[in-house]
Amino acid sequence: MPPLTTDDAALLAAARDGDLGAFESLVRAHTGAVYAHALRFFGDPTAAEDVAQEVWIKVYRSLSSFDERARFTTWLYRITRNSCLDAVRAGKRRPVPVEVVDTVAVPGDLADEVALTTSVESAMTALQPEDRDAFSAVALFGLTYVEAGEQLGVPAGTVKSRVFRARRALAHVLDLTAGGA
Amino acid sequence: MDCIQAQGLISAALDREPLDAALLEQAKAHCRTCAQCGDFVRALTVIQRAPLPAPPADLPDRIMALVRAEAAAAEQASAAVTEQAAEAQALEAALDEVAPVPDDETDPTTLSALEAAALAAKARLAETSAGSRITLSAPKPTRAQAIAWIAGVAAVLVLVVVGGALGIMNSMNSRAAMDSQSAYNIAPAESASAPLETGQYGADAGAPDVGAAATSSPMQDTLAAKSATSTVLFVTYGGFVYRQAGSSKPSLVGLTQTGSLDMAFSAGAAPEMHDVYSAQGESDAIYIANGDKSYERFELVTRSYSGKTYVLNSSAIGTYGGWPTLPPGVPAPTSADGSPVFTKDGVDGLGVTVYRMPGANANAGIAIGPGTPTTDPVAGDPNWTWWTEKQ
Repeated sequence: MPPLTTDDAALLAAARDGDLGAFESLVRAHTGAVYAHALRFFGDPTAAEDVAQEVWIKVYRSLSSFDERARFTTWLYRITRNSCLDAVRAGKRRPVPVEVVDTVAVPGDLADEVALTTSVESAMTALQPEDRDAFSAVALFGLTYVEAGEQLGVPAGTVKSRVFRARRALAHVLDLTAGGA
Repeated sequence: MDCIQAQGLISAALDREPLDAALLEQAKAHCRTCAQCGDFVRALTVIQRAPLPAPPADLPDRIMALVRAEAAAAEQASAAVTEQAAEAQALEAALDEVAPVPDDETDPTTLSALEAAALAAKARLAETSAGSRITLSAPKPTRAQAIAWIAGVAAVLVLVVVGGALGIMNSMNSRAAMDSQSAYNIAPAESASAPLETGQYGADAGAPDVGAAATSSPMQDTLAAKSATSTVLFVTYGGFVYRQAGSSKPSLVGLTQTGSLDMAFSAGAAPEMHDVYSAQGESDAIYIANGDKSYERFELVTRSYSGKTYVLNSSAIGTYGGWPTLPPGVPAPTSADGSPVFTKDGVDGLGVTVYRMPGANANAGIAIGPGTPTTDPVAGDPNWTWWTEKQ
């Protein structure tokens, strides 16, 4: 999970005043989450890149309409999720199908970050879309259950259940026997 | 404490949710002794430790290149508006300077030059800033005095200049026509043409003054009635505009939830969250849950131009009866001809003038001005609208 930028609000305020450097800081801090969400949604790096660019253009265009009482990541999550759904609705992209995954081997050397990422991302394809969505909101964008519930239109308790179900599914799929975890 | 409870608490703790410390300790103790829960915790450790899939290293740079281009375009448009406003201000100042009564009030040469300068300034002012029309509809005392002076001296001239009376009257009629065409509102209130144009294309393009329309022409009345609130329910979903299509589904069969929308189904009702669904094979429609057992159909608003289909983009439509507006990032023009934001591209099959961004082609999107005919997809919308090619 990426570290949450603590001064998002300050960067956002500066960006709204026309400071492109501040906006770039937001882009660099959060593009990883946006890209990861889109990649898990479409399973296609090119589609994820397109959505990431689209998301940030939307963010830039909407800076003046951002409700300062909200958290930036909450807003960013909403734009990211909607952009993915819009691409599907417009017929431009297809969401990645849920795959039946028995097990995914975890690399013996957990320091091999590339292999580790590959394993975890493979396991992600086993998640149901609604569970992945909730997991993304909470684990990628750092939303609370309440915030995620507001974005997804479900109670916070439902978010909690979905995130837990996602973690149990991932834990079930990841084969730890080869690793040293 | 059983395994599910323990794992649930560990999961919630990872998400920084507030938990009972004693319960969390019990969960940890359970996981230390339970093999299954131990595996669960180890798996969570692996998931947490795994880096996110890395985007291409140059992706942030590419994003910023797009953003900078967007910022430059916005700045250019803004500069054009500022420049025009400054020009309008300068012209207005020049007009005020022209207005004072000359020393020799009976000198026809001086009068002619002053009148010509004043009229030229008026015409340029009206051309360069539609916004100024509204401001100028309530003339400042200095300008009113100048106009009164011009009219008075003109009347004297009519009496004094032998044989030239008819010519001068014709000349004055021509000037009156110029004033009317340029919407420089020094004409009496019953002169309908200038207020009508202001109502259509006023810089603010907001709701027209219905009270003022009561004394205006039938065309104005019609326009004002159309502009108040929409009788069609529009919603913005995913940046695109949908209009209520008048049919509904009684059940969820065949529908898939795609999101939710903050909106109201009736006038006066407070907006609230409604689930949004799509139906297989209906890519241009959405269904919005209205209560527990009704799913209202909304159709994507589109228009045709140059053989292509365009979809309507808009900022969120906040209230019932609200009209689509320009989406975020697309500034409103200040002139009836779309400048400085848009430039004319052509005319569509409905006879509606279509605009585009200067320097771009219609593939990048088209704009439509307010006051479209009743056959238009957004007939009656008092706002400029922005349409992008349907993918």
